[in-house]
Amino acid sequence: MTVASPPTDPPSPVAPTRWATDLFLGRMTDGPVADDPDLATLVGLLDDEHVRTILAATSAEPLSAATLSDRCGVSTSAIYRRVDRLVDAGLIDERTRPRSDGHHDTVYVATLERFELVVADGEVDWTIDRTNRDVADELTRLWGKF
Amino acid sequence: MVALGAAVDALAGAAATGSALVGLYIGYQAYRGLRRNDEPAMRYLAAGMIILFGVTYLLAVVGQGLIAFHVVSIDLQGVFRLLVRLLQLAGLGLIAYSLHLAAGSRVPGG
Repeated sequence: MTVASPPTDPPSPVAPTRWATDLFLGRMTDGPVADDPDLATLVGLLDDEHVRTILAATSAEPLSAATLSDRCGVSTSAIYRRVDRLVDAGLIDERTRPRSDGHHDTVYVATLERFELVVADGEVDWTIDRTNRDVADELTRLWGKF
Repeated sequence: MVALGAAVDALAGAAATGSALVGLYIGYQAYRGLRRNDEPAMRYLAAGMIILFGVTYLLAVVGQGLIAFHVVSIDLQGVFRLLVRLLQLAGLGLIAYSLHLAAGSRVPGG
């Protein structure tokens, strides 16, 4: 049995069309991510109830560690341990959110959308699809940077 | 030349509708940004965009309709124009305020 790394798509000539479609549908595209986590890391992470709760909750809206702590019912330090590993694996994104008092909160957004495992022809193959960034979040970020 | 004039009027109307729709789309995304990120600056950006593009467009269309169907006198055309300009000013004022709010809430170097 061989464990193949995720296949990299060849450069597609229809990329600009895809970009235009994404823009029209209110999405923004990410560039290709260089290094995906290996399968053992990925499966190890997903074999945790709180990790799955974190991924699900942050796929709906950006959330802080304190909010995630409430949602999962575990301490913030337990949340930080998990989000650090998720950020390292590139499954969630870390962002800062300015507050009116001059400080800022760190919030997390899920980037994992689909994880697919294919067993065929004597090989185990797997791919990760990441979400496109939300256009409303990008607008908020840009407006703050103006 | 009547046909050409009508075509130009129709195109101008379509372009006005188009900019109202795109402006409202940006306003809608700003509103989503407010809901998703609790960013107060986005409230004023959304309100400003909706007033600047949505409310003024609606007022202009309603005003033109009322005048065209002789519901109100043509003398009031100037009043409608003034109201549209005032609303544009208010919308831009809200966007400028939002810009300052966004700049003010940023952590220097953070």
